[in-house]
Amino acid sequence: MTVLQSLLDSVRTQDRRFIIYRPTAERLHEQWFRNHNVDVEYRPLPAGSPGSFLVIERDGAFAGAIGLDDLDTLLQSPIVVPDRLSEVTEGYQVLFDVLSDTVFTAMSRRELLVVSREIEDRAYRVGTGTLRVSFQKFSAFRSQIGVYRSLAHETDLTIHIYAHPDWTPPELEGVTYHRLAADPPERYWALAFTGGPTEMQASGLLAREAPSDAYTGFWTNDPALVSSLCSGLTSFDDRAEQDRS
Amino acid sequence: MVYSRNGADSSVRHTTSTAQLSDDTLYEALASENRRRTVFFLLDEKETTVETLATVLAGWAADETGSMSSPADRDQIRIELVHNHLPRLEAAGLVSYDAQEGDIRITSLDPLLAALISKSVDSEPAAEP
Repeated sequence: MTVLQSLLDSVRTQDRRFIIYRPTAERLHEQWFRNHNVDVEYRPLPAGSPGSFLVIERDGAFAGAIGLDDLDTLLQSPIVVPDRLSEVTEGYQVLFDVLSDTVFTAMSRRELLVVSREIEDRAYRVGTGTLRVSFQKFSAFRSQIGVYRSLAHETDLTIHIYAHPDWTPPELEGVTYHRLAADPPERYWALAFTGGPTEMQASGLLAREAPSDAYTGFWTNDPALVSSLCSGLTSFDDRAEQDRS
Repeated sequence: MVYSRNGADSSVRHTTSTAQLSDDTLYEALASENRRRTVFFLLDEKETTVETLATVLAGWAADETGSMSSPADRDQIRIELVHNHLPRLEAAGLVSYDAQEGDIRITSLDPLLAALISKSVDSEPAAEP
């Protein structure tokens, strides 16, 4: 089993609970959680309560709460992927935190793009540290060149890109391309940002492509998980040719 | 329970209610949003625990402010409940609180008072401190 697959499995087995507290009997957002293969529980609140909210528990302890109005907006509104860095809305940053460290199935490319942009934006704001990104093919990296040109030119980040070489990317200072020799048996969409001088901003994403063009994966703020993710990506080097631009 | 506006009700319960309503500690006890919300929650639940109450108050705060309540935010609420809010509510005779077990129960409230608290929580403007 690969490093990345065992990492995905270890996050899947962590204890997470999502509990919605609301004053009605409605099973709000049940479909969204079910579609992504995550259980959600419901608890009643008195009629006339000043609010409804989602509580996240990790290992039996409170990990966070967010108002249902905010959750509605984040889950139901059409997702817009920002073209530029620093345009990620605060709402997605909250969603990133609330739903982190949970394995979701049936993630769309669009959802993963938003999560990826949040990680790239953090790396941009911190400006130092290492960002490792796995694109399945360099042709998939092509549409992201603008973002990575900004990351390379406007920060002191060390950037590593891993992909199958079906296209020749332009040379960018500070970016090392790792050409994966063959199409790997399991295809991952992965980002790992070490967080710069402190680990506070460390963040990562790991998702495996399913046959139906959907993804199963998680994102995280946990420096230990990000570190494992970096190890998983550097292990690609065993079958990659480096090309420092 | 029948509540008589003109005080003609001669039941023992009525005597207790009158004592409660004329006690200054009652109004001081209710001069805080989280204490009113505590009584509001207990009017429905009858009994709860400090842990559940801290989670519910943190959840309402998150919904109101539109941001995430963190474990630190909830811990702060729990500490305030244990060291400030619950002792005050108990002193005013509104709840009974077992500090050892963390169990909280509502005591019999004058229905007028119960209605007032529910209304104050329900219609509370978000900006109120």
